[in-house]
Amino acid sequence: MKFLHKKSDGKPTWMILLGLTGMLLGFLVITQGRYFTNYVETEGRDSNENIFRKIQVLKTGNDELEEEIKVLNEQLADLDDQTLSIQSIENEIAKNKIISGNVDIFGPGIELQIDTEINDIWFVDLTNEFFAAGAEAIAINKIRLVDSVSGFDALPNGQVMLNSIILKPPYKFEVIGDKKALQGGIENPYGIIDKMKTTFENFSYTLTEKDRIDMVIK
Amino acid sequence: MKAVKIVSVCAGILVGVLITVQFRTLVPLSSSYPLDQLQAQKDLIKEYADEESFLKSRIVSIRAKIDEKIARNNSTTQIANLETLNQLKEAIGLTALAGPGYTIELNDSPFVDRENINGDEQGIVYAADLRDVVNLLRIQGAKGIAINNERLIATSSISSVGNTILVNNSHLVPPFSISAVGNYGEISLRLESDVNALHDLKQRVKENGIKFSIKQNNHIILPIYNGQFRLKFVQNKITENILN
Repeated sequence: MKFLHKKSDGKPTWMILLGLTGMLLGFLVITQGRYFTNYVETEGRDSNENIFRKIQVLKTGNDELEEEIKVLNEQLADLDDQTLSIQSIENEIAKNKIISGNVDIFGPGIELQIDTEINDIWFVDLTNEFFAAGAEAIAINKIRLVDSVSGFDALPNGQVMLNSIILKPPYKFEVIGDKKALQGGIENPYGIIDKMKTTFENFSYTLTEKDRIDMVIK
Repeated sequence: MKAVKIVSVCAGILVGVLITVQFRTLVPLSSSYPLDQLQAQKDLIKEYADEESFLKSRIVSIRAKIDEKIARNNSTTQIANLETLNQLKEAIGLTALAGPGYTIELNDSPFVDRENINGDEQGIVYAADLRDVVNLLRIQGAKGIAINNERLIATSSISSVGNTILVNNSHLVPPFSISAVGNYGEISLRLESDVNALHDLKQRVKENGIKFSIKQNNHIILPIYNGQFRLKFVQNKITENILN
């Protein structure tokens, strides 16, 4: 055991071992740090772990397209009759008003409240996850996201602006759609909520199922 | 000497902890995934994507027939309604949109093979990059946006499936061409003057070889949105009031 304490030139071996350990430690800390940075900035935002969910989304999407074809074919048939034709156009107008955000709407869904201050990319990613999970309408702090609404703008002080309004926590996401699908869309393993928990220390949120969410025109 | 031993033990423990953390980090490792399952997933996705393309082309064709029939009927009521209908259709992406604008081309680094990448490859374009670009275009007031001729609407999603990207549930592969009807001067100024605009993407263009370019176009034509509108759960409040 004596060789562990002294080398032939007199330097203690433990110093060399300690030096090597320190180098290894430094290497590991930097590797781990860089790994996490890259993970959150790019791949972390687009994990492909939820591939089965995406396949399900594709299948559901095709079912919805078939349903849309059915509705459009009915509309096409109605247009042959003068009376039905007027009704058909009125129905189309009513439907398009809902989509464009020209009327007050309501429906079941979920309410996600985030108490932690988050930056613009999380708003982009969260709304994307909700729409991918079948959200029919989303409002953030009462601003409904429709075609005429701008994007999430990051201000120099780190705040996020939507449609010229600064969003402040608690951020309230009201989402109309299938409650279970919406919840699964964000709370699945490796999902966006998991990523936010990893990114933000003391990340705090509340998810509530709602039988009725009202969205009014501003 | 005792203190040195304690320090050594602590350092050893720390190294052990770091090695454990390193190997337990939750990053998908393609090599740990059975290849036959991966192939089956790819086949399934392709099958759904083909079916989806077919269904979308049918939707476009039926909508065109509807427009044709409506245009042929010319009662006064219909003419008044038709104007409203057309305005609404324009607002939600159900008409083609033409005007001055620009196109952003985005492609993977030529040194990276998208089919054989590691989990943390920085040289490929991710769905998050496309989302960030689209968000920036919306901030800058783009009137309409399309990616590889796939028209975006408010409820469009852009997500990853394996190494490819789904836009409106359509399977897209690079190069990505993001076209927008909007003000070229404003977007180019923002990209030049705001260091935080697309910060991560700009950095990867510089360091990892991702290709990014923007070109002004005086006459962009964006196609009609060819997907479905989900209205299964949402209801009009006015209708509710009438019914009650």
